[in-house]
Amino acid sequence: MVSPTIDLVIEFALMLAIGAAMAILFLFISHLLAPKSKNPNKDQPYECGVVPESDARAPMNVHYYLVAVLFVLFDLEAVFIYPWAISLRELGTSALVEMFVFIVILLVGYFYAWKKGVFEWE
Amino acid sequence: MKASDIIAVLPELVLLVAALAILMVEPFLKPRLQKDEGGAVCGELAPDRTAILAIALTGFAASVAVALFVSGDTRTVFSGMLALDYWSVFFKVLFGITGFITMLISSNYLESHKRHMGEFYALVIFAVIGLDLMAGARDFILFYVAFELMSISSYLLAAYFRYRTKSNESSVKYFLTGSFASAIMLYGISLVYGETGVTNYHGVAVAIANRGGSAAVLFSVVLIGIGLAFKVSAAPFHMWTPDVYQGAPTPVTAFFSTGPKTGAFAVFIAAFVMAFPGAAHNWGIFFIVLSVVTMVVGNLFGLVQTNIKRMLAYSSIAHAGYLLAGLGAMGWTADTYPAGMGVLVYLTAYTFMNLGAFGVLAYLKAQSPDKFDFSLKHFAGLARRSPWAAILLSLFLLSLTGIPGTAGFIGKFYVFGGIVKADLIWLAVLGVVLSAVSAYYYLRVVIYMFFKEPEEELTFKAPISGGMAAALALTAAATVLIGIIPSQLWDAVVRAFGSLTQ
Repeated sequence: MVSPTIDLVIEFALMLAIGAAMAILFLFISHLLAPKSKNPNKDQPYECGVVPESDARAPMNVHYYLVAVLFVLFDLEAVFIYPWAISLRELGTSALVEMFVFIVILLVGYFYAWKKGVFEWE
Repeated sequence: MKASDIIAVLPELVLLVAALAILMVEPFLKPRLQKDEGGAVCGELAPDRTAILAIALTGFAASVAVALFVSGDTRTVFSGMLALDYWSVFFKVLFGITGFITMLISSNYLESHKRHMGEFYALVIFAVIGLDLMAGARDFILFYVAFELMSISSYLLAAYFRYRTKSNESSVKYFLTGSFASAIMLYGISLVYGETGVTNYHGVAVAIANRGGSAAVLFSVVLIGIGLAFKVSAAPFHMWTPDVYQGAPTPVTAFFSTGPKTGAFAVFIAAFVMAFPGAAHNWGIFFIVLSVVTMVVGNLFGLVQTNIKRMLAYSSIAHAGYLLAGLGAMGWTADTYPAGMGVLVYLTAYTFMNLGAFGVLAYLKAQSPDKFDFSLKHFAGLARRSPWAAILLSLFLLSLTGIPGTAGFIGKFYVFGGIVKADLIWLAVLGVVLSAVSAYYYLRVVIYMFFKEPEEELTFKAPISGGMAAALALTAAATVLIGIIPSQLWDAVVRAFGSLTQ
């Protein structure tokens, strides 16, 4: 039975307390130190973007979401491929095969979305 | 990675190929043409999806066959991340059967709700791949990834009837509580890693043994325990269960109440026995407390339910309580064998009887009008309307109660036997007393079906389909067979548990 001595418990409680204190402290310090400039432009959802002209909660075509999900999918694929390409020489043939298997699985998803008409705009 | 390591994941690869094949075949299915009396085409019907059902069933059958075929040698693969042993084979076979029966229940149900699509089958298969990897994982990272694969597929399955508000509500509730639980568990895993520097179950145990226990290890045991307790719907983390079970499509509920629960228990045992053997007494107490609360909450709230689907949700909470009592007994004594093997027997029995009970509900819903909402009064006089459904549902409910001669009795017998051997007689007595309480709400349904006159006559549609009949026959046969001759199952359990703890 693990029965931690009282100083181990105190040590752990200190860790939790210091962790929480650090998070709060940094937020507080940056709040104190950060330069602030009040400006109506600053309060816009997209600074330097197109001026918003209507409510943000407008109904959107669900196609946007599907395309966005597919974009995230291939974005992540690229994230995986970069480190893979750099260390391919050390990893050898098996890594090459694995990456192709990975891409084929992604392509099945892409193909499914395509045949289901995700890219057809009306 | 060695090429021979692939053998350990062959059952999952078979399932993956089946799921990908379904996604490739599905878009090419041609809609059936609807013809009027003269034979002229007057409209289109949804395509015939028998081919997809066939792929899914073949996938599950092949996965079970491959899992049995590669069993034999005990070793870890992928640098100690995954185990190839009887333990993982036992669970892979159980999950394969769970998936197989879920498919059989679903096809008829989805067809009658006009939502019969390939996605459903692919999602169930992905969830089962996650479950397989959870059972085989010997590393917290792999376990977590597998857990998420299973969870995310489950969230999608809960919302499968996306035009129904209840289905959406159930999915959102499941997703929010589930991701909350994942976050808590992940924090526990990160604390383990911070304390020991490894994520491998065995490595964690060695590191803790060398350095001695610490408060952080105990804290992480509790956090990981809470994360998994959400998935097995142990009280006080059970609030989502009745709503999700009621709102999700019935075949999906059948899957939820068996697959993910069994998977979470597999991890409970494997991770806690292998990674935290030094703290066994501590997590034993944690599980005992959890089990007492869960048994009481599940059974007492079950008493007042008038909706059978909700009643079965509370019943599944109560069953999680009995299983947790077994886990508590494992930790309480140094000898994990009796209670641990009891838990495995119980999980197998529970899988069959619960799939069967929800299967009958899915059958009734598939052939009934929309008015049928699983409330108790709609079950009145069922024995005359469809005697077979009434007899089978009675069998499964008796088994859930734990009547001798059924699988439920064998499961309870071994679990409570293990608890008594661990000198926790008060816990076993509490479990037996609460099982007696549960008889009230199980047998009430039987009385309604056989001895009550229906208040309103419900009209019924199509007769039972082949797949549904096969699923119900399979589960009923397993429930009775395990109840009468449990020796085969017992041998498999002894081998599975032996390969884990040696």
